[in-house]
Amino acid sequence: MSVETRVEQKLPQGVGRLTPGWLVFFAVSFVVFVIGIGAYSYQLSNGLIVTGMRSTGTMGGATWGLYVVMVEYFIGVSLAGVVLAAFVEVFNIGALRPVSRLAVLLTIASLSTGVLGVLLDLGSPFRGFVNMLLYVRPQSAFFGTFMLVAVGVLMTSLVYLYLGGRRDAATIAGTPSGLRWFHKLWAAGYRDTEPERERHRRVMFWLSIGLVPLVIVALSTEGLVFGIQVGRPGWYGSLQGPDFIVLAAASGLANLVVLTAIIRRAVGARIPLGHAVFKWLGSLLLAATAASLYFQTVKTFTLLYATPGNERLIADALLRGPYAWIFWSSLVLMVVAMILLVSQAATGAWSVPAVVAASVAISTAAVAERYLTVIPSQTHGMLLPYEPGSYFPTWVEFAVVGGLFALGAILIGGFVKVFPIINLNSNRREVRTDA
Amino acid sequence: MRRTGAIALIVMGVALLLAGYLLAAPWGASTVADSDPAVVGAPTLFIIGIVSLLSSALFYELLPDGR
Repeated sequence: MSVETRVEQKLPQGVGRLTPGWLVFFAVSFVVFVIGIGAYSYQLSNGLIVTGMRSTGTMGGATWGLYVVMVEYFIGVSLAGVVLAAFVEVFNIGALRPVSRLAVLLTIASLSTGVLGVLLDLGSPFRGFVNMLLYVRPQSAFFGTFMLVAVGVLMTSLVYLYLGGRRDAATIAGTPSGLRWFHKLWAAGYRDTEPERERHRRVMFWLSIGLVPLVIVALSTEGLVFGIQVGRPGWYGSLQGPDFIVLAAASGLANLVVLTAIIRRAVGARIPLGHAVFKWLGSLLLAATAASLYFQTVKTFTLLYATPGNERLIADALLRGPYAWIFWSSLVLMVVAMILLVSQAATGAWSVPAVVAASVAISTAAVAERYLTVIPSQTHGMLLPYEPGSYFPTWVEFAVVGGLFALGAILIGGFVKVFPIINLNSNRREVRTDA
Repeated sequence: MRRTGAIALIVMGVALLLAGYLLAAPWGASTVADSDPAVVGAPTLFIIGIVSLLSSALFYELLPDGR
């Protein structure tokens, strides 16, 4: 039974219809979000001392903690969504067209939380933001991790979402509802004439062409932030950039699979999210996970063959030291996910629950991988003769990160109630007449 | 008008990106103390350049017909 609102029921995909399940989901997300805000207020008034972060070396801690781990994870997740949508547009992949809006929305939600995560990690976020506008150097990798991601990729994704939704907005703006003003505003006079469609195809094509290199450059710099630090054993290396990209692709696709399954269940069988979509996503996920495992293996073997010294110290910490349980758990999760995906690819029988299970495993492993990238090199990667340190997040960090997840959930959950999440015209084959 | 406006926004965007990139570089700096951008605020130009590039897509698609 659903709670009726003033909004007309005729709107597609449950838009404007607040079901009890959605209300519970929204209420829980909102409570977690408020707890996160409370925890952050506590951090802001007492300083970063309330977190588990401490100076490396002298205080035996890590200056980049859970916030940076989650920034890496969230920004990584954002990669797959918008790149997938761009590929759908450029190569006209009809089977994936139904999930392209959801993919872009995932990118926007994860980028928003990732960018916020950067600010939360600063003692004085406002001062940091203003100084960045005044003094940051575009030549710096740190510029890429914030400005290129926040301004470039996030804004492009918003433009992509907006322009991509105009046709559907115009379609449902004709349906009387309490959201009609919003849909009319979004449509901005779109009448679905042939010249308008032609222009839209042209704009989306070139936007897609420009978007992919922008995303790759912006996200590679996330890896470069670690890869170019000569004085930090475990970080310095040319594989950090590509490794970041492939794990980002795997974690992003994994999140997209889970979201697609949730939407499929919530909205029902009236939407075109059949097995073909999961087969495509599962195959892409398999390729990205295999590439990620390959990079992990190469990096681990390189560490194992390192000469006795700081690199070796990190290898020991990862393989049989304090981080071993995270390392081996993430490896097991990735291998289990690979087995699930390979077995389905081999038989050609793709099962939605199995792809979702593999995705959950990969997503969890990705968080662990990001943790292992950020933390051990700070606690065990000193060139100076300090004793190995340790880091464990406090309740404040867990609460703030929970708030970030809740914010992402609110963004996505809120969107699906005001706009169709699946393209209304996704079954219609687009005939491209331009380049 | 549509094409001209969009191209103008793209050209302006690229020019601002280049200007921001070059003016933010600490040319000739030999010490860390001199590593601030050559022109304070130049990174903002870079950001406005990105915004201008994106605006060209909006302008091209949103400008009404026959005006």
